Amino acid sequence: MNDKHYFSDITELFLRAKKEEQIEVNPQIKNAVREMLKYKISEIKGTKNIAQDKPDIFGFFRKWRYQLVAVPASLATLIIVVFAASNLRLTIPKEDLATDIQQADKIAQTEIDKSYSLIADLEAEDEIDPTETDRALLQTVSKPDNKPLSINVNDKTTTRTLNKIPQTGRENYIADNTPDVPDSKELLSSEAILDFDFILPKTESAEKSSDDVVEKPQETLPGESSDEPTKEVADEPTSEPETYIASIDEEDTRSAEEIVADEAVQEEATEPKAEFTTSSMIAVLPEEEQTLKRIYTEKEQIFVKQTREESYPVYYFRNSSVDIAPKFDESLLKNISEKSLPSSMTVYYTDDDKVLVEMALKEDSATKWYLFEKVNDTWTIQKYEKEIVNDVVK
Amino acid sequence: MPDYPELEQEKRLIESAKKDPDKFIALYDKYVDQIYRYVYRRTSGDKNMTHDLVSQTFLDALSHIKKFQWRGYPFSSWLYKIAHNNVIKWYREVGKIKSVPLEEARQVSNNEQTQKQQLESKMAGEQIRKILSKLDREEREILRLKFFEELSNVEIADIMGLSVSNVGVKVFRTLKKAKGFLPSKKELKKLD
Repeated sequence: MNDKHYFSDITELFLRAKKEEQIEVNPQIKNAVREMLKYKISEIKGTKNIAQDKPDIFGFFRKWRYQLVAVPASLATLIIVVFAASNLRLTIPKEDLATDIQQADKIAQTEIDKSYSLIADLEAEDEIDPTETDRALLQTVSKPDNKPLSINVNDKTTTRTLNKIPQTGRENYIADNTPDVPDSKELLSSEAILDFDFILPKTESAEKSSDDVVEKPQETLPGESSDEPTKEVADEPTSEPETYIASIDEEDTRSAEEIVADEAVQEEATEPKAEFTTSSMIAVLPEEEQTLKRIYTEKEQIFVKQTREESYPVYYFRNSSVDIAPKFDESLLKNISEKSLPSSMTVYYTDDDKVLVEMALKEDSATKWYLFEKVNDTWTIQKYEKEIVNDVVK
Repeated sequence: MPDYPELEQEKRLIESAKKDPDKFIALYDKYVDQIYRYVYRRTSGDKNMTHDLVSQTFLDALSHIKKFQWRGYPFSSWLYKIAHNNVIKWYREVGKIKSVPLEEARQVSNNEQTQKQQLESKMAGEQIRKILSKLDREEREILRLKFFEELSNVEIADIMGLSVSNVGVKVFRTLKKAKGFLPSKKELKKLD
């Protein structure tokens, strides 16, 4: 039995069903579709005629439209990638500068327009070097611009003019006389000067000084010998504290007496020293404006040559006073550390023979202050273990 | 499948329609009845939907006739393919599938048919409806194209996107499966 015969019944059934299925094509539908097609054809031909009549002014763009878009887009992408790559290469790790940026922001937000005065706390220091200058803590309250700075220590007035920083050998620093902060600076670019430590010229009343600690006779306890000296922190007040007060600017909310009272109360609450005395100092600021020169720097500008191994500086200060360089420049900074350069630096005060610098240390959360001082034509460096907390030197 | 001279004539007509859209009307007139019936069956006799689908089928053909490539098949194969896709799209959109259009498509109007013939045709249509309802969708479509549209396996393969040999196998298996649904001779005798 072949397939035809085998399926004959089912195929015949289909044929019968088809014969039964008399589907009459609706002539109205046929005509409607026909008219619709004619209309569509005329539409196509009309469009074609219009297209033929018009010059193909857009033929070039139609032919090259993809290239016209793709080529500029590729170039733009390439430029963006190159630009991003170059920027990435110069980007400083955020954590390196977090402390600096925060500190700069704090300074910038607070004391930009304030005038300038100093409260100096002259400390007696018992450093061995007799030529060492006395150190005073000068707390910046306000700043009169472009005025000579006069400091009265034990009825002796010292006037200092804050001169412009010489640029020789410090090409990487940016000297700025204006109070405005560059907007694009991400690093230490604040011009606000709040607090800094300052070393005054050595006075006869305090020849002994030291950087961090002073030796003094310890108070004698019952049953103990009073001859054995002990070390104490130098910042602790003496038994008869005398407060040195810088003149207070008019914009300062506190009066000089209030500040004196505050300082006196604070110092009286601490344990008095036995041997050293602290004198009060008033920094008298003249009427005329004092030009205060500041240098703020950016890490990548200063330390372009810094190698990767030196990116995380660790500072080892050999002495409180170190002969380092004949002039204040980068070599001086290199010498303050035995391992590497500081991560960033801001110069807050400069004179012919003094430069007050704030340096950010990678390992430390607080900003450190350093005073470079030229003594006998030799630059020395002293470090203050002060921390800036809430814009106040502590 | 149409003979060779007819295919040559159709080929020339298609080529002229590509250049002059007015020639497409001739192709429409030639195949509109076939496509109409095919769509009518597939839509279960829904006249409105048949109208829409036939219009859409020929509109698509007119719009894309320049892309038509002659492969030796009748132009109707291409039209069936377009109609087939449109119907499937319509089913997807409507969400209903009426697998058996024969019952609603029945329009017995031939007065010359005898009552016996009408009865036989009616019984045949009823049987086919029952058989088709037991087949799956692809099998139904193959049998429709094969027996109602009287298309060759080559045309069916082109419309459904299958190979020709695969269509032959499917036709054979579907007929064998449909034959199994037919009543046996004993049952037919009982019916008589």
